[in-house]
Amino acid sequence: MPANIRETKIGFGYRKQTNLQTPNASGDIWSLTKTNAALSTVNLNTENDAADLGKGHEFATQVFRSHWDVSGSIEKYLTSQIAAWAFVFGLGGRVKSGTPPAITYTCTPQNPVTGGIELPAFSFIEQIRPGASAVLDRMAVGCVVEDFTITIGSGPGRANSRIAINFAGSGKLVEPSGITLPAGTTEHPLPGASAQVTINGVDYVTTRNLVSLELGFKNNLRLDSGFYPGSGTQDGAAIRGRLEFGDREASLRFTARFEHGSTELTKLRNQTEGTAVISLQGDLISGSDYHSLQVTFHRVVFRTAVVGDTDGIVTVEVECQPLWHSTNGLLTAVAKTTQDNIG
Amino acid sequence: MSETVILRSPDGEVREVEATVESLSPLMAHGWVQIEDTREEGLSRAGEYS
Repeated sequence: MPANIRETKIGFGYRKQTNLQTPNASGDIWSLTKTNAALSTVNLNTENDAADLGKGHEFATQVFRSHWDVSGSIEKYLTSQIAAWAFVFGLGGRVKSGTPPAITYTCTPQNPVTGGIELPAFSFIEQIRPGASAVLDRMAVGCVVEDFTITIGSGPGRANSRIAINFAGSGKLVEPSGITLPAGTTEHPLPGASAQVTINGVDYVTTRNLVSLELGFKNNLRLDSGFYPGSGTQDGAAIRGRLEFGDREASLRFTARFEHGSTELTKLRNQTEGTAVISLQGDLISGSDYHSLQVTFHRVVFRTAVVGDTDGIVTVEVECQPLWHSTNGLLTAVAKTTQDNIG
Repeated sequence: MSETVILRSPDGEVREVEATVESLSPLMAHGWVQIEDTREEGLSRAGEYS
């Protein structure tokens, strides 16, 4: 019988795997929702011998299993739970504080000297009618966050605050997954309307000028170097034995209404430096603790500032260049949520 | 008073610091890592993160 894509259930590790090839234990997996219909890409790459000499012709006579590629994406409305997870797994450096039910994760890009260049890994499970009549029941083991992007925008509805996470896998699969997914985790939205945004000395909320903002972090994973002598095989094809980050980069861009006195063009011309602090807040957890996130870029300058229009209103689209701060580093991302032991 | 966490430097120095962005950022940026509280985490999860 055909299956509806909306029957898909997903789960992934909220705790890191002990190593790249060891799947998350069942108790370390949570089940969140997502908005994109795409299933993860599980691809067994093959090669043929068409180009080999000695056959007497240019046609293929054999196909060889080469290697496994696994990748996927999680697109969601932004919640404190997924923000905390993305910061922990996407940045790698994490300090946990607080006591249940309010847990704070303070995250920075992983220091390669003490943390190495491998990020925490997780298992990603997809199921459609798991059990005897399973349409799909698989677990991608050893997945690592390639990048995440948080977008806040104008307009009603949850869509004004979103996150997109892309990940790559080691290629190791467990089918069937052997995992009974837990009940869906209750998530707590971080609406765009709660935003506090101060960039390079301007409070864009007080001035009511912010139209949209996008911040992100990309690990530029070294995918090919994951295959090396002894990296491992599955069904006769190679899998990755490591997933290391490459040249990492942070990004921040925003669009704001442009009016008399707006300083973006002047700051671009003068290469004025400042900090950028973006905060979102959701429901109360307890006491004075709210579901929230805060991302601080410790040094930014404007790389471009282009005046145009958005829906007929004059706006300026600014791309920031995050810079390394000699004391505070590149950025610090903090998420406060109810889920304990992320990472 | 703010909550505190225990961090260890790349050189092995252990320091208890306030769990604030201002206190943690300079240390984390320079390789300090958290020493997990083994009383909460259980021995199998004990130790440094990242």
